[in-house]
Amino acid sequence: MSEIVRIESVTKQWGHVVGVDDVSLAVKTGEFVTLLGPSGCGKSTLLRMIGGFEDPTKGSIWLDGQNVTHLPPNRRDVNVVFQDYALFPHMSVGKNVGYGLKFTDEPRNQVATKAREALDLVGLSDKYDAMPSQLSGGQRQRVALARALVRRPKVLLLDEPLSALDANLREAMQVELRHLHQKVGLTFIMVTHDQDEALAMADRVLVMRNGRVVQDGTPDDLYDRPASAYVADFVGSTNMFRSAVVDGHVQLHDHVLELPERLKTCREGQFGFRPEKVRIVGSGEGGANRITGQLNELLYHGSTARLVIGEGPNAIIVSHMLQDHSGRSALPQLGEDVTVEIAADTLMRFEPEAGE
Amino acid sequence: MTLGTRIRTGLVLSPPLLWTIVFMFVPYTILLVYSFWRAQFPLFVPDFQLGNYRTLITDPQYLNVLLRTLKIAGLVSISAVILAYPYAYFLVFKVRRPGVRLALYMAVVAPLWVSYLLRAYTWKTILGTQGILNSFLISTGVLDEPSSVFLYNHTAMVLTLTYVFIPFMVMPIYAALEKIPPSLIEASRDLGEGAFATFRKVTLPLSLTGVIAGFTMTFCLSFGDFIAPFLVGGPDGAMVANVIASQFGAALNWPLGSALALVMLVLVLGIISVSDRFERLGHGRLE
Amino acid sequence: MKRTAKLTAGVSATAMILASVAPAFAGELNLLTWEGYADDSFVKPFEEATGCKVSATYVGSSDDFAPKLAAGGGVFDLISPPSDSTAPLIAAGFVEPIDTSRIDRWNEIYDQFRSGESINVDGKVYGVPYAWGAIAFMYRPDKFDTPPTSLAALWDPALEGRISLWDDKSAIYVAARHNGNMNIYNLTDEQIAAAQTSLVDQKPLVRKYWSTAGELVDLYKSGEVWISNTWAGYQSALLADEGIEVVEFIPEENAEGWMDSFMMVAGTPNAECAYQFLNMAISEQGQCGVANVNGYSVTNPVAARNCMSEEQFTALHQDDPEYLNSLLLWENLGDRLQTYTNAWNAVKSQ
Repeated sequence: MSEIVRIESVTKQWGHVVGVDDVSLAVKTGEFVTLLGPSGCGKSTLLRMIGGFEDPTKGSIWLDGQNVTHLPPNRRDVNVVFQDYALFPHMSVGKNVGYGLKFTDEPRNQVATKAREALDLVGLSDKYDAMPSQLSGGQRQRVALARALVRRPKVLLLDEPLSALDANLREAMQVELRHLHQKVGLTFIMVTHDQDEALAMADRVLVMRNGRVVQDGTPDDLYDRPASAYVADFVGSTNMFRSAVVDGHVQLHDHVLELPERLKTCREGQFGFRPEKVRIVGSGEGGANRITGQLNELLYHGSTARLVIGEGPNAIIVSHMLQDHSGRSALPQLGEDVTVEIAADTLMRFEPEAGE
Repeated sequence: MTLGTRIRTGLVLSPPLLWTIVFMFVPYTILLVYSFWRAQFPLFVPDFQLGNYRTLITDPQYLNVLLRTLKIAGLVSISAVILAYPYAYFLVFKVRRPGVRLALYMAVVAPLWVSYLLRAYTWKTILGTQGILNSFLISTGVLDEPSSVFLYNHTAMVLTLTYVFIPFMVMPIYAALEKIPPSLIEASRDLGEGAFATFRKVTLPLSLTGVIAGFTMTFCLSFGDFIAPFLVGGPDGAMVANVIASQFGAALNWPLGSALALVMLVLVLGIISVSDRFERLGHGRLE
Repeated sequence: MKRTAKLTAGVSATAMILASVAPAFAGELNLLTWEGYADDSFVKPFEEATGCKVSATYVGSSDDFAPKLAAGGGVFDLISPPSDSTAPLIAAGFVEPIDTSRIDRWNEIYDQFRSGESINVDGKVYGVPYAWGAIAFMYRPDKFDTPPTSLAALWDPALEGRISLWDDKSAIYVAARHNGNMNIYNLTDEQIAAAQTSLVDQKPLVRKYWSTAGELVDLYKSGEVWISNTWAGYQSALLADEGIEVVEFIPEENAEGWMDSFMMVAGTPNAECAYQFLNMAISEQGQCGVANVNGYSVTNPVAARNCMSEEQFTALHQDDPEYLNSLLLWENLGDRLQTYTNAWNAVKSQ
């Protein structure tokens, strides 16, 4: 696949405030890339620079081989789905969708036809004459999508596209957006602060922090091999602890855990493991990397149960997948001792981050 | 509950209603009654006849003044829009620092706290034969001797009224522009339109309610003005309000004055209801 | 007009209440008058001597008297309308007859004022003449090589944009005389129409119609106007204070004369104070008071003789009955008032 977007050492500063700090990035045609991070991490600024709404302080942006760094938005072949949808309130849905077509010298009747096709694509062909104020939030979202897609841009930029929707609708739209991406075969770059959304939808996720990309990888990479404690914490949850490495082992509170081969030679540092990777085993069963503690909290999250074993700073969190209805009864009661296994190969070690 | 108690309760419960009746309904009713009376030396006598209205139609002086007043009010509103719109646009979209924006906004609005008379009088000192404008034009060599073309004519009236009433144009336009989400303008740019087309297709239509509101206020205020003709108007500067004042004063013909006042009131109400309809067309779009 | 009567009663009641809470004064007197006619220089001594507290409301034009009274004039006790505005006030019953036997020096007043029709109706006297003057003309001598002597100057295209005229029906009188019609208070419809036409023709030459004394002073001061009519003695003095020289003149076509008299508002509760004030007004105190403040001639030549210098006496034409007789003294227009004002309004609306 060829490269459609290339960002080279882009920095955005307002006075002394650094919004985006020396970011480089390449996106391939047809990829679905997500910029993930908390608010203020620079992800929206990066997106706005690709869209042409902000001028980079340093660096360059290339679109399909063309340097577009300082081109205004109307001269870039990208389109944006805005967070608030930005539908023109004084125009019908059809006019909104057709808005961008006139400029490109489409014949008049073609404009209407294409607008209808685009609305069809998002399942709103019957709303052509409606005004935006008559639509629900989800429908407005689709109109915004149709309006951006109708121009067949080289890249579609989505700025927190689902954040204004309620939870149910958001999940449905995640699936729909994903389908749409496959159907139209365009390149999508989406900004979100929601890790579930990022992991569920994107081919590739860039985790950003303080204006920098701290990890760039597939959702699996991020989950299984977070590059830092920050990523591990931001993407999913992690049981964290610090320990020295003695003879290929680390100490988790009172317990000694064996490290996998790849980590045995490490020095002291920060270690962690995913609650989902912890296995509950029968009490008293012997074996390596087993910990026994009192069950102090038990919460059900649909098909999973969250267990807190131990107390205070020594507590570890375990996420247990319930197989069926009998799964619940198989769980230990509150106050009972539970034994869990933290398999050596699920242990992760994090390099200290710059500035920490 | 008898009708009497109900009315009494209504009055007690709603001072605004009472206020409206006492200060709006009663005076207008008196005006209406007077307009059917007849002027007869020394004053006027009760009657029911349409002679006053007939006079307004048949004597060309009233139509003349009415047309002149409409013309002045129209020119004031148009020049106020032309000045106020770019200014409000500049404040909302180009001035980034809130402090500077507030200062520039107040620079236009604050004169409202200064007496109208004083502000209008200022223009007299600017436009006069020995005024600031003439001094400036002579010192810069544009004129050899002071010109008297700046003061005591329609242009001076339009200028003064525009200056006096422009806050009423800036305020609603500013409010309308400020309500437009920046994302709409970005969306238009993103969809391929340049800055001017974006203004024409998005910003302007969405700020039209403010323009209509400002236009209506400026028009109605200038339409009823009688200070500017007095201060900076020339011999042909009389407007409707001046004629009404003269009918209630020098001519001592209150019936004719009342009839003229009512015609003026109806015209203003007509303008307001038309503009209200326009405004409602564009209303709710930015909710 | 029952409504007006009730309103009057209400306001008078308020006035009485106000009077009763101010025991320091024997009475009070509310004047609707011209600026200068209640000047502290002679009103303060009057207050001290009589215990009558004077408060004055000033009018801007002769046309302010009747509308203010028609709108419920009960707050006023004395008014001072000019002689052309008295008829409607008397006819409408806004003012009440004066008992001239209570005016000690009544007989000293110029006879043509005392017996003039502006204050005498049906054998009753309705006013005490106070001051008089001419509606003279004036010009800036530095702007004229040859001093103007005729009204024709006001129609001279060479003076375009330098002419001003009083915004009053008096403009009709001026135009009529310009047209050769000297019966200015009894003009026929045709003569009024001709005057109207002349005024419309004159309009392009006019810089501004002046309404108040201050406005005319401003127009001369700012160099806008070089020639106009004027209240003789008044604006020229104000301009002299500003260091601007103007010359007054009576044109060949003559000038109007005006006379202000004090009238008592019908039903005034302060008649006692009112009579005391009227007596003061035509005494040396009031006569020289107004002459000094406003520069007007006065109606009691005996008092004037006593309190004026020879110079002032002559300057105000108090020694010269011929001058007074030569003026076209304002007369009541009666029911022709409408026609005159309508013609003037039509000129302005053109």
